[in-house]
Amino acid sequence: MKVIEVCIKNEYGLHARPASLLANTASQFQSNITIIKDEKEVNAKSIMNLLLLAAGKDTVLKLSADGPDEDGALSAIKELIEVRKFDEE
Amino acid sequence: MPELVLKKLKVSELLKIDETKNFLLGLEILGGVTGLEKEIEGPELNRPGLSLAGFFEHFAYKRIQVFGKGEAAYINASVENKNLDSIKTFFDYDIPVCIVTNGLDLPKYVIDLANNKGIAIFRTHLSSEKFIALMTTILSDLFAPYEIFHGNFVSIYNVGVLIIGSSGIGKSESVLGLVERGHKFVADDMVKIKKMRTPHGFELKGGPCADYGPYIEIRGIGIINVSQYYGEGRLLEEERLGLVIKLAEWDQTYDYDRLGLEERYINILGMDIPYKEIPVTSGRNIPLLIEVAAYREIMRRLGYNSAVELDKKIIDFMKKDKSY
Repeated sequence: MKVIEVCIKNEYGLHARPASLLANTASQFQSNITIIKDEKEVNAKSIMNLLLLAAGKDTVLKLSADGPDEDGALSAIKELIEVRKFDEE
Repeated sequence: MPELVLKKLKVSELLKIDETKNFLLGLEILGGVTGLEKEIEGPELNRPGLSLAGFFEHFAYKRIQVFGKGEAAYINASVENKNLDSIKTFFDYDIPVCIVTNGLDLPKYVIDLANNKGIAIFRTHLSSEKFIALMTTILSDLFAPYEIFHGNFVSIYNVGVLIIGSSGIGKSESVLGLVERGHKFVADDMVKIKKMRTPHGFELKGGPCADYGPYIEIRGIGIINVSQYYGEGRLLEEERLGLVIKLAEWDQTYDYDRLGLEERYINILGMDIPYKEIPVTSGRNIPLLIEVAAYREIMRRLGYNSAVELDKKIIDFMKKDKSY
């Protein structure tokens, strides 16, 4: 299992459209992927779970993946959140 | 799918149509039986007052000619006064059919002329005004551009839903499930979607391709008559198309709509119709999903979208959260 930290960079945070992008990206991997904000831990493949986080701009999230393709999953999600900024900017 | 249009309609078909509509037009033949095989090329009607009076410029002779009280009186007067030139010229044109309204008679001379030239003359008991309105509706329906789809058509809360997808995916079974839930059956297997003119532009209407009756084929069970099993109240002749649903096997690579923030459309006969692709896997109740999709379409027309609403709430919440 691996854990990294990511920071939400887009203006409106993790709202519906980014959540759907994130869930779709996560679903491409076999690993179990979870995201942790404060005391909340959610499944990254579920849109409704992700929305529950209410992660606004500058929120730091813990991203953990467990499975055969955990490295690929973490780097793909990190790129989506920090580099592509959910294609919103 | 290619767009199709009815190009020609045999004159004799008018009588058959009248029969299927319980003699709404009450057409009877006065003469010119040999002209029954002639073809009508369009849905327009013509009142030939000017032509009968001898003015033949721009005479729309290819249309159905309607003789009202005025035309009939003029013909009677002309025949009585032996003023026959323009009537003779009139019947020299290649007219598909003449229809006399108000149950009026025509002089024997005119009937003989029509017999001679092979131009059918019909009579209706309706007034010109009523007849023209009815006939125009019936003909524009028949001459409307259309497409044929391999699929099913149901009416869900007055939204016409066309269900398409490959054979054996469960379209007919879904329709049965929807009828069971109280919705209305329109067509199974072959659906005719036609483009009708309305005061606001155009609309698409879906109905069955043939008038055999409300039969549906269910694999493993056979053919079922929907009206016998579920009652006449679950049938509808046609409905306005509001939503197209494609049922498909689950495809890992296809980008299914998970939010419904944006609408997808499919173009049919030049019109964009809301479109949803629903993946079929075991454990998914397809009739229920189609019903929800139709209900969502009604909400969309009312300007309501659950995904947009939730998205707004979350963005607002995150903003407040930060200001603490």
